[in-house]
Amino acid sequence: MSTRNSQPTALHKILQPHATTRLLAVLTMNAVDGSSHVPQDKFASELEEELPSLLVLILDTSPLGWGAQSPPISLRDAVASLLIFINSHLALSHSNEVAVIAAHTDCVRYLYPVPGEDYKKLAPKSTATSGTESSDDVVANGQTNGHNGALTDSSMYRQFRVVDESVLKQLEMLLLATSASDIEHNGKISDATLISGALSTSLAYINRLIGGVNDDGPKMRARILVVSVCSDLASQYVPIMNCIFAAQKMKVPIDICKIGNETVFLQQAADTTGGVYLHLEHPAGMIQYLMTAFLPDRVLRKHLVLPTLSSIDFRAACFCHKRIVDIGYVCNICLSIFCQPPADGSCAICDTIFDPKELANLLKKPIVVATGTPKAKAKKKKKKDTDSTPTLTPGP
Amino acid sequence: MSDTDDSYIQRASSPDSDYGGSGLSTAAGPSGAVSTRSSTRNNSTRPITNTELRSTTGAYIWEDSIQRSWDVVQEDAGGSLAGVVAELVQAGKRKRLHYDTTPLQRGIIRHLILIFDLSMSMAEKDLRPTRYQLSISYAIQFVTDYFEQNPISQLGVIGMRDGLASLVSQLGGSPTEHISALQALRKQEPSGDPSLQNALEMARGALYHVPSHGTKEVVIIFGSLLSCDPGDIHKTIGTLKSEHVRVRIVGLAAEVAICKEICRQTNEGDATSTYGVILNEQHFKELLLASCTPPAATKQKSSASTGSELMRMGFPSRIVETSPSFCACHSRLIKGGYICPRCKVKVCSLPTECPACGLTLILSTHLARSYHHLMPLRNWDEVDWKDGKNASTCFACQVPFPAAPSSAPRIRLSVSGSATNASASVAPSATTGGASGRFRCPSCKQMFCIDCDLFAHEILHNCPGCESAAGRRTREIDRSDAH
Repeated sequence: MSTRNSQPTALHKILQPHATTRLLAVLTMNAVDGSSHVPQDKFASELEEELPSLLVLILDTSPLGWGAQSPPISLRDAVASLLIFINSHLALSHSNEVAVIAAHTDCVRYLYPVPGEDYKKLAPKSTATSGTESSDDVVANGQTNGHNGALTDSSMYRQFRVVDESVLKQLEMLLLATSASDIEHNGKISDATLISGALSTSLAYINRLIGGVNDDGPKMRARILVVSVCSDLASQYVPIMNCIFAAQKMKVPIDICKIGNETVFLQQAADTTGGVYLHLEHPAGMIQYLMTAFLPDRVLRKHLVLPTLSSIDFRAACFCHKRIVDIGYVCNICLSIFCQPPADGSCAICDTIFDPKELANLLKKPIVVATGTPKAKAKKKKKKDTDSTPTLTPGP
Repeated sequence: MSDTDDSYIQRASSPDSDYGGSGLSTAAGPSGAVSTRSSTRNNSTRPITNTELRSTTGAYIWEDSIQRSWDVVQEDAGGSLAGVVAELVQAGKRKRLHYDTTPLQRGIIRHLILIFDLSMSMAEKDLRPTRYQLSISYAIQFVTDYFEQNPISQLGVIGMRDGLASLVSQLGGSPTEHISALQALRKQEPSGDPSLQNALEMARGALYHVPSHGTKEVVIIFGSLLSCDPGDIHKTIGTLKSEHVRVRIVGLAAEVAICKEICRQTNEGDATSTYGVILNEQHFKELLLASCTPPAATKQKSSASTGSELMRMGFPSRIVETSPSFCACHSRLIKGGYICPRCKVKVCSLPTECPACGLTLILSTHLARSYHHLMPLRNWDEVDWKDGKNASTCFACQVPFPAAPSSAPRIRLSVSGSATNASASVAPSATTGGASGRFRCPSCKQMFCIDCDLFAHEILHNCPGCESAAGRRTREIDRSDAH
């Protein structure tokens, strides 16, 4: 009987360390209802949808960046929308998880989960008007509770409240501790934040939770959503590219929700990893963008057509003038791109001297002969040129 | 020839016999099983009294080189093996942590020929299911990894069978072509004898037209102990050397002198890192995939080419079309593709050479993929218990570190489940005395766990601490800071 043959395989799968209870139920039913002719792979891929989903939210907390967006949307409104989005992600499945990381101008912080906090015990909600608190506490709690009062209350579902309160509290602490000197890069005020640090940290966190790339099977599916208001920092190009390739290897899509100016690095991130890139034209309606385009996870996206950017500019910028090039010259030692062969015959980045003969070959231009007066010398030169277009002139 | 007993009997040889220690030899078999054969020709069996032959642990000196893998696995008091298994996993992780991080000049544009041994010796079953099948599986993985790490490089596959060399797939830049050719090889049976000279000559011919800025490499998977050549293989080695072709060999059976000679001559005297004989399947995979990293550039002896060149490349932009049109490379109808900036023909995938004008077309991401070879991440130092007390959690993934040995001996499991520290007292007796399982980056001074260390060095190539400017921070916000 076919069911007898399937018994050992069912047991084998049950004894694997990653077997969930649902897998157990499915496979024992497999033996009972005689559907063992269905290949096991089908069950494996169906069960991928049963895996819980981890969302890592990277929030750009550049004070300058959010200040510039202030008339249509402020940081507070954005955080409120994001909390609703996080709550709905957690509501989709009981075992879904979330992590929130703030990418600040000079540091990267976990807003949730914060190391050292025990989330099992939740402190009772303190009211803002408790008379026994010291003045510092009133100020701190009064401010946080003033915000929290609108966003969380003690009758909220506990899982939501834990995350929301932690995010709000940590964000408040982060912003209060920022001074004017912290938002400078190279001595001038800029709105650039450490996106590469936040991406690296979130990928390390995902790596720990998923259980490694080469294991028997992932325990969770993960994705990253970046909410960004700032422009690119050129020194972050190589670290961001490393993060993009690591995410591609781990099959983690990176979604981008962009408010403000366009960036090229994040567009490439979304495209390479298979994520969604949206530039919000009406940031005041952020919650609608979040819930429609960014809420479905990787498995559902196969069935949906989500708005994303398709015309990505992959052209490179040259290292010497920062011009966009479509035909460039690449040094084979350091892989730097130039728009024209360097005049002194050496690479500006790695100082290798190029072979002058080869350089001369690259610089050759085609000989253009005026029609009607064929010259014997011009014909001889044409033989040596590799990229000249031969102009055939009729003989006399 | 020598009578060997199954049971282990200690035999002592007289001190002035002619083969003092060499008669008692250990032969390494193909899959790494180590056996001792004691030759009993001139021996007299007597109880051991000769203390000169013993080392400090009381065993014979020649026994020290034997590794008995069953000794490592011991049950603890409760009769379970979980602690030992976890420790083995940890030891395996620590072993992988030593990377070569000198920023060498490397050849990024690579042209590599993979030579496959399809001879009779590959039908041996010492690797499951046969050497042949396993080699093909690993070769397919090698092709995938090679193109992932070196997107602008090219690969070709040659097979050695029946004393002849045959081309399995041409030198090209598309991984799917090579993988389908290797899959087709599975259906054939290995036969005949291998011929190194024929294969190397064919590889040399295929690499003849490679421009001077690209590297010329050959990787041979060799499972035999002989080579049937029509001529003088040393002449071939000489021509390979003069054309700067570098050969790496992965031996499956035992070390063969001619292979060592080839590697030594073509790699300027370095045969140890280019010729490896496998001990087990894991080692085979490691040796093969070690060829994926770009090789360090050697000093070019000839003055004709300095090896550094400026290459002209095109960076096409993607177009989206509403109705499909033909691509110039495969004549397939597709919607959208890339337009060559010089001659404006459409190609379907990158990286490729424009079929009309010959310009190399790539994306800037393909160049970016090789940056981590040129600027490798520095090794992190393992930290002692006394230095590592201040950090309680890993900086990147927030996993709590185990407590110091003087305090609670029972340690929490980390979420991944693979790093159970059986007991804190085991850790000091591991590889380094007082290892605390924490790793510190020398530039940003943050502490990381072993999983993050492996992840950062093998997959990510970024240090999360350095990227978060952790070393430059001057203010503290929450309690988990570690300076």
